[in-house]
Amino acid sequence: MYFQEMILKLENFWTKQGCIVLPPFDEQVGAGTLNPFTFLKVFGKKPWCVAYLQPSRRPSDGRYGENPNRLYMHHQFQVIIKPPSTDIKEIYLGSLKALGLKLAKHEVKFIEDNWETAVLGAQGVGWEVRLDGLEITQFTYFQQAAGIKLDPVSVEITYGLERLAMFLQEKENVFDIMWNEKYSYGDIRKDTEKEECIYAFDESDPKMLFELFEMYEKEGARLLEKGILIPGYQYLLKCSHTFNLLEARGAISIAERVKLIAKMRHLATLAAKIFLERESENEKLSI
Amino acid sequence: MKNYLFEIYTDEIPSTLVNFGAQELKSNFVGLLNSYKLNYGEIQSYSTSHRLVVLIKDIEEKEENTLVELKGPAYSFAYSEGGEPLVALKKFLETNGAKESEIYIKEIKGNRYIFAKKFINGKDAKEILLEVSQKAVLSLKFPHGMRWDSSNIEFTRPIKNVLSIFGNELIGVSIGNIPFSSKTFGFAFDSPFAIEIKNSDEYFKKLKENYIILSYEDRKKIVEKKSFEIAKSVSGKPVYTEEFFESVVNLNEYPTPFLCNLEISNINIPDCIIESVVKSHMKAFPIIDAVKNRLLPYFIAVKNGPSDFIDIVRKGYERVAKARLLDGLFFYHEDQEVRFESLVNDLSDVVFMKGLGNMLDKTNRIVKLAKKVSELLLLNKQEENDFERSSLLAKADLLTNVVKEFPDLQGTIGGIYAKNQRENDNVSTAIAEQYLPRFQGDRIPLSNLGKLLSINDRIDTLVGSIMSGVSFSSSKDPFGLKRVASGIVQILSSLDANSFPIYELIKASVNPFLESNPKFSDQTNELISITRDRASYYLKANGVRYDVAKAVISLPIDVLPSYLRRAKLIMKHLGSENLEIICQSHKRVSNILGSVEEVTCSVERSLLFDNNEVKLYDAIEESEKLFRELINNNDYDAALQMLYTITPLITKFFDNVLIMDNDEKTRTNRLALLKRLQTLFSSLADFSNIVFSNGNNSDK
Repeated sequence: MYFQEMILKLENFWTKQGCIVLPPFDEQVGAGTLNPFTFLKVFGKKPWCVAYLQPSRRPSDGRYGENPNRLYMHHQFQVIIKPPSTDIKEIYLGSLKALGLKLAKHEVKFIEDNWETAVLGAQGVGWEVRLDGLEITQFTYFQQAAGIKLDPVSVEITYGLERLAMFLQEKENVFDIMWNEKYSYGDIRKDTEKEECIYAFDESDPKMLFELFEMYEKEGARLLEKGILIPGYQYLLKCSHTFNLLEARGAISIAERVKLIAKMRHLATLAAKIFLERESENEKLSI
Repeated sequence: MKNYLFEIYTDEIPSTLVNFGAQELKSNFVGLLNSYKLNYGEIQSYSTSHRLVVLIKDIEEKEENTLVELKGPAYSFAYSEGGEPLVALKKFLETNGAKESEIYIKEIKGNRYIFAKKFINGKDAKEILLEVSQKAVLSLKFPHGMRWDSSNIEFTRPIKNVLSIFGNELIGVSIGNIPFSSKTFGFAFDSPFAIEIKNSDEYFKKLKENYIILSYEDRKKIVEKKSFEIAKSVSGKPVYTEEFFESVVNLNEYPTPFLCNLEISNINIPDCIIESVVKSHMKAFPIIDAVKNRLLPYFIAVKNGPSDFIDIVRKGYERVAKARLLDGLFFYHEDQEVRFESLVNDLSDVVFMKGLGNMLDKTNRIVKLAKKVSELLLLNKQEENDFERSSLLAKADLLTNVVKEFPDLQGTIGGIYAKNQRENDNVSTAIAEQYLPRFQGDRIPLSNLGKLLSINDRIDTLVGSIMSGVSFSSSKDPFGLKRVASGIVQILSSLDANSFPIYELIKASVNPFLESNPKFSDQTNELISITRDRASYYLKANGVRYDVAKAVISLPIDVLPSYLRRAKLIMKHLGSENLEIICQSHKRVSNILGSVEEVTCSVERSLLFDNNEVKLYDAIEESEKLFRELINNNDYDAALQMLYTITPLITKFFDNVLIMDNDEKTRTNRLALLKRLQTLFSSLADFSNIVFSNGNNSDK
């Protein structure tokens, strides 16, 4: 199955499950969790059901396109369901079947894997899903975000598309994955992978990045304090990516690290507050 | 009498909590059931990654009936002066369903009260089981629990189904949003269909038919047996620790071990990286060539489920392992391009602990500490240099790519890099061994410098934590300080020498912290008491009785390395009459000396006139020097035998000599003699702590 077919199949599958299928969020993010359609929508009581592809950039993981398994940017396919249906695990396994896997011929294991991010004050408890030993999905229940205990919880399903594609296409090098019948993953991504690494590891200007971080952070705080949600939240995402670039460059000392994280955490908390206030107002209106 | 079967069916429980969960559930059941008068037989517990099960055998249908005595109002409130029943009495009778003719009067502390007996019909077992089961589940506490539905109850992983059957009858236990059912489920991926269960016998039978091995012991046996067979087929044996083995086995309800190839024939990569890939990443067992003590290019993975399609699964595992290994190799090569020593300065970017600076600070402290310990132990110049060098390089590997990728290789990989870059063997071995022992019962560093480095590193962590106000208790120890302190005790106990300058070492470690932060206060005494406490724990874990442990740990902290040897000797002699005499004498001497002002003068022989005291004095005088030598040479047995030779003199002394003589000089002199005796005893152990029941020896 080609890479693009996988995306289509998953979109199709989750559409049938009643999910809104959205385009990727157009900011650089480290993971699908930062997309506001996850991070903000998990707050509050209103049901929510979404699926989207999210290119995710993690500069520190980049290897100039030379490593067969590591990427600066990879593709996540993210599903958020609030509240989770009781048979969500069976539905998820169904999605693997939709990708053409005959599960009875393989071993599917759910191994304990919990995550936590200081920047978002967020925490998920659950598993990594392994297919014949290969980690293909994170399957977790979102317990907390911006330090707030979520009620109800949401289930968060994050497929690692490159891994899955390598498995389905039996490739040992990520760049050999076929995107469609003509083009390989390497054709589409390899040059950019390399350049992004050159930028992150060799060419970026830490001094400028620190300045940018500060500007983004100020602007984010200014907007969020005025109650302007998404434009403010987007500045938090810009901060987060800038932080990741600085980290890849090895430019952040311990003391700075703690400070920068606290600043981003503050923005996340402001954003969550606005979202929750709006929701409770809406609730009042609907009554 | 009937059996009760209770099963919580869940999504995959973390494999390290599968056995724990079953034990906790069982003990909750026992605790709760014991508050009822319901008779039952054996309680068994089982668990797999999907279920926690309790089976209680031979339960009576009903709780025993009981007759309880009820205290009512005081007589003066119950009856009017004319003897007419008042409201209070009527209420009492009404609420308890008693008649006035059945009541009686008892006096309590001078007041007369109304009493009645009430017959309580024992509760139905079904009613009790319903209540107990619900409580037993909801009071289970797991680390990292989670919520998953609108009930917001917390459990280790989502509960999917609750089955509870008493005899052939369902007990309607529901947990949160999960209703009770008469079903369970077979193997999750092959036969996830609901299975009707009528009673406990059928439960065990049907699960077996549906590929579920309920008992950990059974799963363990299968994996153990098969793994050794598989390893043997390639002339090796599997490598694992008990704890790791459990965490692998419990990922499976129906474990099937199988052999995988590692394609490493052309790859030059340290064994420790391969081991880490196989264990931490693949959750599998490495295979070792038992003769050459080298890893073989295979590993044993465990499939959940029967061996169908095992070749497909194997291919997947092998591919993942290879990719991971190539990753490791890439990092290993990257690291080779960096001068190991040059990483030390960048340790300022690695956090040690909050409020305690960074790893460079720590490095500087342990280098200083190495210097101090070298002085205290009179190490030669070469040893001192090696010690300082290994301390300087100890933490450098935290900045290597391999440790970032494989955190469990810290230390091990540092040792390899140090050796690759031509540090001498003493230095590289010490670096490699600095984190040993990693857990209770793990191996101790073999090299002397490895031991010293490991002790210093831990002392620094312990001291820094305690000084900055981090504390721990028997139940809470978020920073693992108990393990840190236990490590120190384990290493010290492995030393040949019978003493080590622990007090000076702790002081030397405390000082830089005191200087670095004016808010810190000197915690030397607290630290010594923590160390003692861990030593006591260590002794008990090694089979030493609590009172004997006490007798030993009250010795100066510096003789900690010999605590266990001394304690073991005393344990061996617990049946001896001589030992009992020594213990009683020690107690007596301590009591007397404790009741008078401190004796400061020494004994003057000329002032001794009773034959018994002269003999005792001469005996002490004669043996003291040799006694100390024996102790210094670790020959505690001979030292104790030597004490035995003077026990008759001690007995006679106490029988015939009046210590508290009226003449002050005589009295003081005799007290001084006692003090001398006390000092003699105390250089072996504080015998006064040892308990003999009924004057008999009590080895039991």
